Amino acid sequence: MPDSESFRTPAAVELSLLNVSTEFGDDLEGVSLGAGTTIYDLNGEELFERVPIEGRAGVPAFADIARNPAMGAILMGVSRGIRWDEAALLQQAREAAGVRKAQREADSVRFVAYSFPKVAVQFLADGKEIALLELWTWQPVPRRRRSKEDGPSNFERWSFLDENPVDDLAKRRARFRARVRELEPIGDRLTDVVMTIDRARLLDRLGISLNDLLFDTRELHFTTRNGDHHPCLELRGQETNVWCVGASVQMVLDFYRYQYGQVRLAQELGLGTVSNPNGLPHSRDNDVVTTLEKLSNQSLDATLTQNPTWNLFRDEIRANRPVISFVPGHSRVVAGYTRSTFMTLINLTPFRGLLVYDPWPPNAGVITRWENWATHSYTQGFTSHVTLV
Amino acid sequence: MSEDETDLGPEVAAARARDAAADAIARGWARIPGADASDLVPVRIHVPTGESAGWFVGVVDGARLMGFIQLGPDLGFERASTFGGTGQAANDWLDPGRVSEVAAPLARPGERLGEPYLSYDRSPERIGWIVPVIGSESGGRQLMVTGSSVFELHHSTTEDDPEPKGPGRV
Repeated sequence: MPDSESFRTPAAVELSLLNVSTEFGDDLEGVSLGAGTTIYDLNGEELFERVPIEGRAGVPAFADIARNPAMGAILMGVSRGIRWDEAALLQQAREAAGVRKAQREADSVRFVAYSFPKVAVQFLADGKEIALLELWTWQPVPRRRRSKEDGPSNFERWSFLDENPVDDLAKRRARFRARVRELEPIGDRLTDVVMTIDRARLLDRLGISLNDLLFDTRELHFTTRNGDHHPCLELRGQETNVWCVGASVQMVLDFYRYQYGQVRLAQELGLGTVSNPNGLPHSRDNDVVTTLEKLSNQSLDATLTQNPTWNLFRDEIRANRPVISFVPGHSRVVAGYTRSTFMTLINLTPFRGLLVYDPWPPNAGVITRWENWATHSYTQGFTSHVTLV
Repeated sequence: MSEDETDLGPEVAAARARDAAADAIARGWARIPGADASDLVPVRIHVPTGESAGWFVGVVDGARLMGFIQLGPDLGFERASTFGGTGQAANDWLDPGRVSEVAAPLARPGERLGEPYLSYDRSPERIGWIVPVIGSESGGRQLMVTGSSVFELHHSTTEDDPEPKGPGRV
């Protein structure tokens, strides 16, 4: 088992990542891990270390950092709003114990997780307990009265290491070691920016923006596997000023490797010719469905949805399928979405945007990243999927 | 009507549009490569009756227009778009004089071109410069310039459309 100091760096990485998530606001900015208090199991083994932390915002807090892999996680928790002052707590414990005259006999004192995560101060003489006082209440923790087979009551001591099921502890150790292996390379590379927590410096070193972390974002890939390359959709500008539907259908058919030019698609959709073009009337919206199916030799199953919802676009993109989107007077292809998860966390209306391959302007087109969902009217959506055999 | 229509001079209104576009970039809503280091050049969008329809804020790197941020009349973010490749010539989209040059070949004998204004065709997504054609035989013709392309606007393409709620998809 690595010694306790070896977990300081991965713990600092965990704290830095927590800080990047802004779950604690800016309270962790500027925190450095100083000296901590070792918390023991009832059986005398080290369990974790409780480290007082205070960032530039001046909010007192403490972090529990594992010393024993059986805890299952490196950073076990961060408690905000409570100052951890080991010396002051020991003084209070001695005063409480003094009433019981225990401290006169004690030759050592330590903090013990008597019923994890509840902690007490244990007074020892010649290695034997003479008092165990619960933290802050300073009530004596009762000695064991139950048989080993019974579960502990609400205020009773039990050993984390000796009484948790062996299989459960083994799983915790494996999970802990896997996490250490995961974080070690990051810690080695970024020691200078995690030992004193600094969100901006860490993101700068990682080469990512905060926005990357705060948005649920998905774009079309080669497959649904995240590691596959993208984009897999090519922008096609409309070849006349009224062929937005033809260009949109072309982009989707291209995506599925059916290659047609817009002149051919115009014949199918009734959009005239290059020299005498026309748009697609409302009465023939469904021609998009029939064209997608016909020109893919029925390999594509297309569907027209009136007033498509956000979830329709999101779910199709997650399934790696582009969607033709009609807005009043125009047609485009949706190839991705983004949604602010952070805004949701703080109960504000999230920003939602679509990645749109827009065939306008003619012969060029633009890729819109992002189109504000809240400011547009989505009248029809055309989904298509490969027919399963 | 928004505050910038009534109370603010054009420079102040443009500065507010520029600030709103910069804010959209900072918030991650406008993903245009290089936008942080580019110039933001706002141009007001008008509907044909003259009312403001928002702002087109060009993202300009030297002489190239890499993309644009479109804002509503209230400066609300609507979209951010990029052109493919190395973008388009900035003047084609931002200089009314250059727009008139692009439109000129479609003027017929006896016609002259009016003052171009940035607008759109049917849908705000279909943005471009409208150039009115003036002349006894013009019949109210309008040209639209989108970058280096120019074409005549035909609002009759869906006249036979039985759907009464608006134009077809063009």
